[in-house]
Amino acid sequence: MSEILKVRDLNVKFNSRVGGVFGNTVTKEVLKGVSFDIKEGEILGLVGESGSGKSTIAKAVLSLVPYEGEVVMNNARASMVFQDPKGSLNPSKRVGWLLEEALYLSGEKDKEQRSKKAREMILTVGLKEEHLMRYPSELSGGQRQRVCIGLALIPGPRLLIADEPVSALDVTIQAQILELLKDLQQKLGLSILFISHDLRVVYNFCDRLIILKSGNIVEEGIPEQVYAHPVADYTKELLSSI
Amino acid sequence: MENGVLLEVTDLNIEFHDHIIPETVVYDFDLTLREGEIVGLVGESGSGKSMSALAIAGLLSRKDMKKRGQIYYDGKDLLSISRNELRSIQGNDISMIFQEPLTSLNPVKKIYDQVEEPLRIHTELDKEQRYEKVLKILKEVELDDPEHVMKQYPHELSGGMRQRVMIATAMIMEPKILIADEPTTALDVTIQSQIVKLLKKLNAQRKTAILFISHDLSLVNSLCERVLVMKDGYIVESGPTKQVFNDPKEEYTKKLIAAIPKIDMTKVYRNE
Amino acid sequence: MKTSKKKNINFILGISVISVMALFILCGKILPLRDPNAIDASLKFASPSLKHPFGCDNFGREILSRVMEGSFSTFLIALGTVFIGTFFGIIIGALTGYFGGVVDEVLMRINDAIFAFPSILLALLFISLLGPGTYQVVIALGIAFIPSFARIVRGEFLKNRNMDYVKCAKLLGASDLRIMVIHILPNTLKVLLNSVLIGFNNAVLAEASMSFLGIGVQPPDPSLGRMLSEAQAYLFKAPNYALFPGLAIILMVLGFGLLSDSFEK
Repeated sequence: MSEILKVRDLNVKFNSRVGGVFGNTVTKEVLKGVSFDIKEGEILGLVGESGSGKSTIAKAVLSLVPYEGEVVMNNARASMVFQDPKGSLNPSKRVGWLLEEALYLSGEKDKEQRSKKAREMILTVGLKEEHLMRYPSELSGGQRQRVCIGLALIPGPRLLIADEPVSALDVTIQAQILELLKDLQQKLGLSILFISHDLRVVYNFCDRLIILKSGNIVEEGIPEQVYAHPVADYTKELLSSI
Repeated sequence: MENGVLLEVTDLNIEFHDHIIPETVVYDFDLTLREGEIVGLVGESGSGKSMSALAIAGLLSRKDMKKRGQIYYDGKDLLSISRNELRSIQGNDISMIFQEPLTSLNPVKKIYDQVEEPLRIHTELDKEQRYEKVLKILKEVELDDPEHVMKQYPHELSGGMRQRVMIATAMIMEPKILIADEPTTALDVTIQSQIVKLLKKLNAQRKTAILFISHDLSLVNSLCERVLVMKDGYIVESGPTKQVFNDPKEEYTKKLIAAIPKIDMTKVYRNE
Repeated sequence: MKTSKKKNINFILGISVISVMALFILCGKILPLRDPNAIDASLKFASPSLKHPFGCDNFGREILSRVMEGSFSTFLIALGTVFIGTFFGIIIGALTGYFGGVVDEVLMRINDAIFAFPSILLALLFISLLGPGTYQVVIALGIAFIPSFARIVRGEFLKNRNMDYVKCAKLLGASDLRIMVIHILPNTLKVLLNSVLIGFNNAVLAEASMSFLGIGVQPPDPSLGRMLSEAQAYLFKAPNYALFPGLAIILMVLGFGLLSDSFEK
């Protein structure tokens, strides 16, 4: 299998000022030389606590933050699904408009084609056509996340980056969203970079996982193996909490 | 009142009247909480679990809202007593912690002042006695270096530390009942289990009864002796946690249990 | 269903008061009333009667038609003022809020400088440069009103530009202009609408005060503020002269005030 994403020696630093206007500038290293690959059709879990730098990896891959190192996307597109489905949908637009806007920005200039494809997409993510007429505030958390996934799928990505896509949802809804993601991954042959702090969720969902601590990868492997024979102390600590 | 029963809620109905069409969010809610017991209240968002908890804590405004039923605490019906009486029970005998510790702490006040606040309101202790008590409770919620933490502001602490501060504030008056509304949902999994352990410890040491509200059945399973399952404002199932877990009667409960990610724990590394 | 009862009452009251005023202004335009500037010495200080319902002023001009005409010009001036304020306020607020950095610093400091003056004082300054007159009043008040609108729009853009939905749009390849106009702007409308209504009220009062001071609408054209200032000399002789223009100002401000109340969260 060929790699769809190759990350080599990724470094990200943020400068922040401490102590007001006259304070010193402090450089914080968020990622310290992270390297990993994602293969075609693979679900890679990226596990770490808040502050470990896992969301920063996602942003670096999408060039949303400046970085040093190598990020090579194998002539593929990447899309992103965010944690908070409420914030990632424009509250003043209907779902149908949001989907059509995404289609327009992806180069679909024909209006009828757009509304046809929007209808197809809403069915693909397991919602009904009537949901096209709703505002995001009129949807439940799970329905909103489905819309977000639909929006992310529109540019025809080969890689989907999901940053804690189920953390803000109820447990029952979590299971449904994970099922949808797995379905889509198999149907469309997507690769998924699945970011989570929850080892319970990752276990059944991912083909392979990486554990991140303070900007370093401390563990890598297939879930069964990592869960049974963890190498890093940090992994052991994480496992004791499930 | 029956032996050991702290709180008895019968036939609680909550109806909102602030919109043009009245909306009922809780129907016929019954709950008995005994001394030193941990009861779980499980349901999805919108099931009415938080509303019931707020009503018990006396935090629902009396305007725009109709509440029917009784909430008996210490022989008094919390729904019909005066504002002043209710205030002496709030914070003194019944405390509450919330999901988001950042917004439940005042951002411009130091930790010490916030934890001390209930002592100023409800007791006549002098400055040194109050300091001693605050220090003791901060140690008890297992904050490292409490002398330093009490001089900090909420934004300087991590999510887990903030939730510990919240618990300290709630526990400083040694309440009989602690209502915990999704106290771990906003936290990382490792921190979650630490907070759950802390609640367990406080419950064992102080015999504080805990009403633990969550959408996560696996958390409830590890913490609570008894559980109530709520859906669309109704309690659909209740009983000892083990029984509900191993032999769920309702379709909905089965669905909730099925949603928990399955991991074969025998194959997971254990420290012990 | 989401609107609560009290807000609803405010909305209905506000709309009714505004409709009454609008109807009143419209009547002045349609009904064959006397020319508001026509002078008739025989009608000097005529009391309210069937023929002249509001009575007549010190030149024998009919107060009813003058209040109607004056309300109309006040309304137009307020509208123009708010339009200029909102239009440039949105542009400045959107640019500074969305891009931040140097643009933000420079524009907001200029904004602060203008904001530091009371708007009436600022308008006075512009009038002294442009000379008095209706259009000059609109321009002067409009410029004085820009900073407050810019501030509100900037705040909203600042809040929205870091939201995930903006990131999503960026990832999809939307241009900055498109994000600003199509994605973020509609989300500021709720707050903006409210400040437009309050701004409208402030403009009505500002115009009335300027005309009262004699630097607004120029005689003989009727204006509510001007009528009040002329009437104060005859307050006891002909109270109706001050009463009706005052009432018109109160109703206009009240209507928009109630409406803006009902749009608050």
